[in-house]
Amino acid sequence: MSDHNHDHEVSDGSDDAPGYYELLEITVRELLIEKQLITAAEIRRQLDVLDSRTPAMGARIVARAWVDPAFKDRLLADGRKACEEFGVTFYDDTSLIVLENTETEHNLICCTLCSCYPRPVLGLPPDWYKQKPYRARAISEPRKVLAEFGTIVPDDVSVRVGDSTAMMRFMVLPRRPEGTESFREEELAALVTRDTMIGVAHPSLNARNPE
Amino acid sequence: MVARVLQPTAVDNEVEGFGHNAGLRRHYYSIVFPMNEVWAGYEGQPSDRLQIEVFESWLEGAKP
Amino acid sequence: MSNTRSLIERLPNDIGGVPAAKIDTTDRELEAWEKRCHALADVLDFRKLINTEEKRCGVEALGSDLVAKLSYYERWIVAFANILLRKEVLTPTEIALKLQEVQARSQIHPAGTAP
Repeated sequence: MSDHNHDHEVSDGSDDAPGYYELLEITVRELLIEKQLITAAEIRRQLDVLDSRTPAMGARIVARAWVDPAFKDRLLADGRKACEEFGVTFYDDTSLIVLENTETEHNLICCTLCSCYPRPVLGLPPDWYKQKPYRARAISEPRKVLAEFGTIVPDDVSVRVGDSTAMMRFMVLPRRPEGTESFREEELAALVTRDTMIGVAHPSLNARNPE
Repeated sequence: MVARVLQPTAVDNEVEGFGHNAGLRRHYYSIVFPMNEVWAGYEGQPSDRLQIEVFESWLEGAKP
Repeated sequence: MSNTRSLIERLPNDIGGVPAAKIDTTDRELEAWEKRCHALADVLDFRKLINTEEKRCGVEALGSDLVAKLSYYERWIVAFANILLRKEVLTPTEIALKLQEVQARSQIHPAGTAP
């Protein structure tokens, strides 16, 4: 039995009996399986797919854009197609628009109506992205929101907020930090955290992804 | 200001919410608005902008 | 009574620009059942039982009280149950009986059941 199956079949470590909503999830799933409308194998497969999608993919794409200007141009022109070059599969008809942070523009992404997020390249969104404070305030007071994440945008830099309202998903291409000229692509990717691709943080030499 | 026209044409997601699968197809437009035109009393820079997508049926053609 | 007009015109999830609290930036891992709920949503969409927009609509239909009180995946699973009932894919009796069975089982094996 792989470690993967182990994660799915044992509880998350708490000894508490499942709560009502977990019981409801089990109920709905088992009924649908009994009626042969879905299969247990499909659910397991989808759990594996969800586990396989992490911000590491987005980080690799950002690192490539930093070192390869032609790739960066393709990424900015058609985000989905460029990500597909990396083997990313998009499970629906959504398109991806990559917003580039520059000296004069800082980008931030959100979904005010629900929780649309570039899942194929970043995995599942953090809680705060899906909750009311971020969803309500990112589009109307982005600079205050950024400050709550410890990111101050100077007055001579404009802020653009990309709000996914339908078929489009956004991702931020953060700025390459100073002092990384000699870095290999993998070292660059290690600097790119999930939060830098949402736009609430800048990549920095002090805050790298865990090894 | 239209930032780009999304291709290919796609379904109206508002209508999709009512259970149609792959109904009417039109374009989505990605549009950029200055923040201070969207929010009265916006506190930030005049150059700050909001980018959203709008389904074709919500847009009027510009008069020449 | 114009203060109720905005409740009608603005659905509970249409919250862009409304005043709201400070952001809680803490990160947490999803619970196993929440991940399973997400996988279920994807399979329901793939199988054309409940598409993503129907799910969205179903969550909005919970109303502002439930939307405020239930967590993200709690809203999803309730929305799924409601939609499947409305579509007559599942019946209330089936859900009630199965829920009872699952609850009894969970008291013997608190680790819960996975697919």
